[in-house]
Order: sequence, then C-alpha cells, then structure tokens
Amino acid sequence: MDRDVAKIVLHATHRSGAELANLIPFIKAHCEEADYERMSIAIATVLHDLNSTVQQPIYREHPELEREIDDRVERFGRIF
Amino acid sequence: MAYGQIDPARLDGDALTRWYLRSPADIEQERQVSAAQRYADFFGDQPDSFLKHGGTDSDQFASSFEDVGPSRYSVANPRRTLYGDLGPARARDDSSSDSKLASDTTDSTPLVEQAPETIWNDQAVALASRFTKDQCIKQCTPLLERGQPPGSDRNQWDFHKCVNACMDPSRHFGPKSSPSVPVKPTPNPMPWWMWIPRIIPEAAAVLA
Repeated sequence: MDRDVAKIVLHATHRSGAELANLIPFIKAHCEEADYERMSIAIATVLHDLNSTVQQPIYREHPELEREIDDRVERFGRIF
Repeated sequence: MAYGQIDPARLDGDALTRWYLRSPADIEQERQVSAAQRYADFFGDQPDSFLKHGGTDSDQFASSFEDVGPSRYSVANPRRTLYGDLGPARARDDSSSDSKLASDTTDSTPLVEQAPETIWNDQAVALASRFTKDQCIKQCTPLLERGQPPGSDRNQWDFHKCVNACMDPSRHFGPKSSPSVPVKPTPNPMPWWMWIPRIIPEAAAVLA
C-alpha cells in the first residue's frame, strides 16, 4: 500500500477508534454496572478488531508509521 | 483476578515481596491449578488431558482438544460438539458470536462424517485463540477508562499496545521497537499479564 494512502487509512481508523474509546468513560458515568460491563467489552473488542485487521497489517508494511505515532503519543498524547 | 490469580498491582510491602520471591515450583503449581479451573469451568469435566499438556498457552490449550474432542463424540448424540451438548436451539442463539460453529451444529450431518480431525483441530485452534483474545481484551479494557485531556489518544494507543502485548508476549511493544528483530524465547517465560505494567507503567495504577 502506498505510504500516503496508509496514513489516510490510519488517520480515519484511529479517529473512529477515538470516538469509540471516548464512549467508555461516558458509558461508565451514565449506565448501570451490568450495561457498562457488556458494552465496554463489546466496544473494546471492536477497537481491537479494527487494530488487528486494518492497522496492524499497515504497520507491518510501514513500521516507520507505527514508530512515528508512538513518538507522537509519547510527546503530545495524540496519534495525529 | 479471575481463577484465583493474584494481581501484583494490588499488592504492596511484604506481600509484594513475598509474591516476587515465590519459587518456580509454587508458580507452576498456581498456574496448573488456574488452568485446571478454567478447563473445568468451560467443559464441566476433569482436566486430565489438559494437565497432561500442562499449559495455559493457546497452543497448549488447543492441543488439549486433540485428546478430548473425538472421544467426546457420541453416535447417539451427533450434535455433541466442541462446546459440549450444543443443540440447534442454543447454536442459533449463539449465531451472532460465531456463525461458523453455529452452522456446524445446525447442519444435520454428524460431525464425524465431515473429517472429524480437521474440524476438531480447526475449531480448537479458533476457540483457544478467541479465549486468549477475550481474556486479553477484558484485562486491558480498564485502560480505556482513564481520564484524559480532550483530544488525547493515549488511552486508545495504550489499549492497543496492551492487548497486542498480552496476545503475543514475545513481542516488545515499547517505543522505538523493532518488530522485525526476533526475540529469543526464555525457558520460563513470564505470564503475559505480568508484562502489562512493565510495558505500560500507567496500567499498574489502573489495574490496581
């Protein structure tokens, strides 16, 4: 995959992942414990599937992109 | 933690020191008891074949089915599957989580007529892999609960690193990691969950 295309795909999937990840504290604050348990695991599973099926293959092809993101998260707390 | 495992993140002082100073025999015994308990909870069965393989790793977990699987098939009950006595009704209920297994159980052809060794091995590997994945996701989900500044992606990024490290402890997921460099396996590898606080220091506080 072209590197620029890979960056666009990563950007989109990580933004989607951020939307999902931000739901977890929200659900915890506003839902009952049983609902929270069920939904948090379901959301986490979707997040992991997105990572393992879309993002990880790109990182294997472009490992420098993973290192760049890792650096950015370390420095700024942001993926993009 | 589940199955009587001790979470070191919850220990401190002398208790933590004693935990770190456990002998290899104690660790092995604890691991086998935990593995046997998981096996018994899942199959409602004696874990002889599992203990014989003596492991909790997914490959060992999967290999345990090679002994259990075919011997559990009954001509009188051809719908007996990897899950035990899964009937068509239960299989349909479970269709959303695993359509392949569900279709196997709703098919009127007995499993033994469909090359049983292949089916058992494929399903065992798939089940063991899903077991590991589910456990790892459950273990790492608390990382997503952490408070973070608006716009921060740290929780998401740490969650991915945590799950990937959990599912493949031989790979180091730290900054500047080089996945192409093979990691030599150690003779007595540390349990996967002990890697999490080392790879992601923030996880220790969250998991405590």
